[in-house]
Amino acid sequence: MKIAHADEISILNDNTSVRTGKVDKQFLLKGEPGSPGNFKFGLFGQHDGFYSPRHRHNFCQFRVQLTGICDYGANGKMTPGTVAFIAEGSYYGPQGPDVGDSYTATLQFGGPSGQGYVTMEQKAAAKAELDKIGVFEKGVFRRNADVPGKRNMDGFEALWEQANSRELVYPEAAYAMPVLVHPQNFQWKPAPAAAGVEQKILGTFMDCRVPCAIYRLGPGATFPAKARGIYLVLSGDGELQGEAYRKYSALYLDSNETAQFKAQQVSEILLLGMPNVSDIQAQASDARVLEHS
Amino acid sequence: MSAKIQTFRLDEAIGRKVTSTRGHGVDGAKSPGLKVVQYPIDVGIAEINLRFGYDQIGDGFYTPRHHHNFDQFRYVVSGAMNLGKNFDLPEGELVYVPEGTYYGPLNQKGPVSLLVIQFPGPNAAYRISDAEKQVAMDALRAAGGYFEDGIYKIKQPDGHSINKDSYEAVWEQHNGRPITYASPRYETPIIIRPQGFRWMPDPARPGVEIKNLGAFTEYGTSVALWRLAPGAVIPSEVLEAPQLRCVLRGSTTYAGKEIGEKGCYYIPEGLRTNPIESRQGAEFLVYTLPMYVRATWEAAWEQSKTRHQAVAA
Repeated sequence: MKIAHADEISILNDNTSVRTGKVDKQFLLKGEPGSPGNFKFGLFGQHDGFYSPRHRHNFCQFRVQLTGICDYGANGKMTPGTVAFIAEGSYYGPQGPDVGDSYTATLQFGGPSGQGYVTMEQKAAAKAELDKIGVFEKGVFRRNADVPGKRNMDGFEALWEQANSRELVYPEAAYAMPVLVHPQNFQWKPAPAAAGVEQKILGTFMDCRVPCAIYRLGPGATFPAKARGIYLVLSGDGELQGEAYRKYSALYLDSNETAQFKAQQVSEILLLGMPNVSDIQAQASDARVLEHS
Repeated sequence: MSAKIQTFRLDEAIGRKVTSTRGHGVDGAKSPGLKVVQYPIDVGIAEINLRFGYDQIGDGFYTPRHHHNFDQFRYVVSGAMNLGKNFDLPEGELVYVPEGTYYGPLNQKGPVSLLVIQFPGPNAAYRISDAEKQVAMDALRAAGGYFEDGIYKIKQPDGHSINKDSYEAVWEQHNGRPITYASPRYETPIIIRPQGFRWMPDPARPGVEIKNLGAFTEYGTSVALWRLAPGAVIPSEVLEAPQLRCVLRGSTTYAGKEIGEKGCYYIPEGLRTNPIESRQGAEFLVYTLPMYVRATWEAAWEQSKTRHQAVAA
């Protein structure tokens, strides 16, 4: 279990981004490097002119639009409140060029394929090496003519291969495109076994049933969190495991852990689930081809 | 009225009598080759008109971009289903189209066969039956209008023309009020690629493996594939929520009746089933519909009526 509060964490200008445009980041919570369940969660600002080409990843993502608009082209626009689930292997975008400032809460995590999630430190080291042999332009890594290897590669793909010293083989996509969810159009339902708590179950994704939901706590209500994932306070305040929670406090809960939110004011808490590591490692009967050995 | 456990072989499905309002040309005359059979499932709740059928669609079938006031899933049995410009779903994939979410236009290239389920979604809007649809279509034609390219067209006495999505026109004719759509919960149809999911052993049922493909909306409507090994048995059980199970491959036996490919089961909540056996092995497409638990549905239906009254006021 880990707890972080956005108002206690400084905003960094990211120098490892391979996309076009200014990005700033607040890293709130991180997982265990090297684990198939590794993850990174933070609040990210993308500013006028941000652009990312159509691409995919070998990890899963939730993105929550906090302010501004992100335009994913044919996949739709993220407006404030929209939650996107992007499965490992699913193409998305191109994104932008965005107009104005956009802030999102983003969770990137190792998916069912077991390929895990490369850390910022690994990416920074890889980018430092790649900067010596090429340039990143509009999200694409262009290798210098006198260096062996692919001339043009997706920027993330280039970083991953540099960090792992092997070719990136993407998992089969479970969903053909990002799933963009509009929570405001769901109805509140009573949460089972939690008096004073209502819920909007937004979806359950992938073979390991990754949940996404919003919980609304009335004053004095207690919400027992128990699924593995990130719990982000969207509004309200109260107490979380002896700490005061407020807007953009975040909790990481591992499998078999529990925590309690006790609301002082009406609070909305967003669950961005992650698979249990045991489910990632489960011996599926026809496990998909995952990685080159 | 209470529902029973129902089983249907494909040859027990009934050919749809009402013509489609879709297709190119007047009454779809330029898009021949639509053949639909439907399983006469009775969910035991008068307001729920659940349609599950095997649709064989010919080359050139056309549907304009539109949305519905109900939920649907389409599973591609064979061929490739067009879902928009330069976008086709191949065999074995499926799409969930939530109520309110736009999709299409659909321009079918080549034949395709589908298993299609359509049912009232979380907003519990009434989904009209085929018989009601026929009456409404007759009335709309008698009024001087016609259906062309999936649109109902009629010239008004004052000379101006009305063009309206055909399903919308039929629904409004039957219900006597403007249709309302749910604000979309999901931005786009959700396209599910089962090859991107792993078969996971079902811990409660030896010989059964499952691909959980997703659960959607606040009611948790879910879809899954189940694979039964040869000789596997799904033991007698009591479900907490209704399920529709369709045999995609192989064969099963239920109470002595063989349910083979494209046969289906409808199992309401709260009733004890007989074991489902499969000597040769089988694969199921399984929809779970928690919203159709009677008490849950009755609450949703009441809310729906309140919404309609609020709109009318």
